[in-house]
Amino acid sequence: MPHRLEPYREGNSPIHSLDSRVRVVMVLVFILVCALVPVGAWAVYILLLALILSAELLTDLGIAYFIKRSLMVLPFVLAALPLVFSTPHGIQFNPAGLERFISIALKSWISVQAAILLAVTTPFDQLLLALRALHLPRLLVAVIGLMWRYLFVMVDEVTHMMLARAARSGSDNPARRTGGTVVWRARVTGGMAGGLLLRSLDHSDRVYHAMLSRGYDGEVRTLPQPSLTTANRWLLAGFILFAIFLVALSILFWG
Amino acid sequence: MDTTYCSVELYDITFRYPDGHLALHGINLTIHQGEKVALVGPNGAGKSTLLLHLNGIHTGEGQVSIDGLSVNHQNIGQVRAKVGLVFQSPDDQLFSPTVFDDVAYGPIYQGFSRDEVEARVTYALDAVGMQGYRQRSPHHLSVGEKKRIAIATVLSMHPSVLVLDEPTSGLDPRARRSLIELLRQLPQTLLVATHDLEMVRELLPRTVVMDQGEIVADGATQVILSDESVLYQHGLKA
Amino acid sequence: MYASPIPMHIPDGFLSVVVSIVLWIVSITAIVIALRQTNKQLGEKQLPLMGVLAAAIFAGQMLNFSVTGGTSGHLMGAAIATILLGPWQAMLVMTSVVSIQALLFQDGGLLVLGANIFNMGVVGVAVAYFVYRAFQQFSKGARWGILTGGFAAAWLSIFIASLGVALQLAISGTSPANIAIPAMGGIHALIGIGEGLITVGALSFLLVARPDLLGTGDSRGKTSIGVWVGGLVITLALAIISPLASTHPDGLEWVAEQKGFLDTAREPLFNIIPDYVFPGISNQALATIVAGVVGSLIVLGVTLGIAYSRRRATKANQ
Repeated sequence: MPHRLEPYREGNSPIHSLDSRVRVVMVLVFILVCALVPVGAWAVYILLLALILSAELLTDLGIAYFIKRSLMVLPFVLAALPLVFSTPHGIQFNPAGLERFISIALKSWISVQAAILLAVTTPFDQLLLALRALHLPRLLVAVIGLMWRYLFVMVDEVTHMMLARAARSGSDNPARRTGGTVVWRARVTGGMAGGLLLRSLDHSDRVYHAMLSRGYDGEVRTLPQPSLTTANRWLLAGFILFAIFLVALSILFWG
Repeated sequence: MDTTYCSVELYDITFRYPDGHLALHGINLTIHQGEKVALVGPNGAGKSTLLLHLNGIHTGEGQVSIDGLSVNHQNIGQVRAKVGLVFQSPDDQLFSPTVFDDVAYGPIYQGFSRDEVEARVTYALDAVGMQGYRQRSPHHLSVGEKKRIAIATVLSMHPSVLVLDEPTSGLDPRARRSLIELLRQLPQTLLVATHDLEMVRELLPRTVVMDQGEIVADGATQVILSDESVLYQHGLKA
Repeated sequence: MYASPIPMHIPDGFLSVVVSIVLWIVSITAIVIALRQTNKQLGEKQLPLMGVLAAAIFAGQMLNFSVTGGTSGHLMGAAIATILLGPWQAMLVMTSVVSIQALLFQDGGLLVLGANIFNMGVVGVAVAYFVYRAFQQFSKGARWGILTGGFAAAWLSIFIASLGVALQLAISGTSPANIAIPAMGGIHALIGIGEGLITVGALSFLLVARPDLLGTGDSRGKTSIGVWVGGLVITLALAIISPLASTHPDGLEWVAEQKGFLDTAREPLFNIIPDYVFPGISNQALATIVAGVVGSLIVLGVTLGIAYSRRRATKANQ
């Protein structure tokens, strides 16, 4: 049973069995293409959507799973809504703005699906491996790795704290106004946050000791990575060429 | 006793925390190779602090020797490879994204080649019976599984001494039983800090009692655990 | 459920590529400096400290309290992290938090991750540091200075960061400045109050439990003078630019300029391409749309074929 926080879903689909470093780069390139394709290039959007839907189909997880999760970008779309009604001459319907608004919403929706695809098909340790392969600072990658590990511990702790608070947030008299003032509630929550931070400081001390006792000396050390197979290199090169071609084409016709 | 040599030697260890609290006072302790020793005493007696001295994480006054090697700044790496320290909470011990990464951590820092690291991980996971768990994440394991993996993370360093802090705490009876059986099979010198006197009786022939930073009793488990006055006086029985 | 409740994580698609890349460069520079500084200050201990603290900040963002009518107050954590750890470590902690949110929970985009790190990790932290330090100097470390300073640092870090988000959206042509800036600023002026109150609650808890942790800055003051000045500059710049920008009603003018630039760049390219695009179809727009649809159909067809044959293969194996 995976922890409820864990986005990774096991599988043996072609997407899952792709080298994670290749998958990470392909997703980043794909999102970059989405960003570079000009406003109103509908044909290209359709193509990109088809590509990402196809990849989703190949994961065996079901497209509905992706669509449901991808809708979380919707609220932010509000930020672009004013485009539809604003013109240099005041508030009125703006067809160019509408085109732009729909483009932004579509690009965003397609991009977030690519990000979901990455998260659900890449085990975290493979993701770290890919980040290292992309030459992120080793220390930062190590911090992110530790953070992920202790996120589960901390989230469980927060859940317990909130349960404990809820368990004591009752009232024996329904007629009485309950819950104290907003400021009081905020400060109680703040106290919980303070407690959490304090415990995490102690926790980090013990983790530090555990690391020291197994030889940690301040250097971040890892096993060398296996090099990319020739097939993967070709795949990556082909995908990047295709991306460049797509962007060039779309800028030529719609830019 | 000329065939066994001293695995752990502590000579007059005194340790004060930066805030002034005196945690250890004049500790003398010798453990021979292959001995299985319990370290008992009330909370705050200084057991955990003492354990942290064994591989130089804390260094107080006095002298610590491991396998005849006097612990100092130069040989700290060697000492940490010889002493496998398993912390009370496996959430402190297991800090890597996967079981493999965690068990490989020590060997990687010891500077072994990829093949050697692989071999050591396989050996350690075999020893604790968790071979199928290599790619699992620690947060997907039960407490009992985590405790086993925690032991594997130090076995992979091929230590000669195993030091465990509260290995059975938080385990259900079945997981506790299987952990005790695991510890019984390990050939290393064993020092176990615990409140679990049942396990001590069963597994560890020698018992050291600590209270308020000092060793107050040291001897055969049978003798010490049948001395009611010692047990009451030092909070082991109430 | 694990999406951060503070609406400040920009998704992909909302920022122009130019803005995204510029902010990546700024953020990477800040991260590199921060890595060097924390290495100097903490040595080998920094790794476990920052890793576990980042996890705690992320988890702390799940803590909430009900305000009224189903809305609730939340923590982003830049200010409390800054007060507890000092600016450099706080930057790295917030960078890790924001990166994990984007990489694993799609809270904020990947291409725009640089911008999100900039807003929450760099602006949020620098502003909080500047404000908190100013209060500390003024109050000489008195209790009221810690609490009011904490509130001000938390509120302003949220508010100023949100102005940054609004400006980036406006520059990208995603949202007109005259709407984005007051809207983002207004919402976050309220959200900032929740952040401020939780921060004060956390600080008063720590004042009782571990007052030694709140001596921020005094020991780190010298190395962090750059952040202090940075925080001051960012605060002033955004506080001055934002109202100015929002009086210019047309956020789209930026886009117009970019479009014009692209048009001039494109013309020589068009000259290379012959006049027809698709055999048999004379209308160019129609031709390209047909091309897109045909391409998509091919892609979908191939995928369905692969998926189908795999399913048959697995069935055959069973």
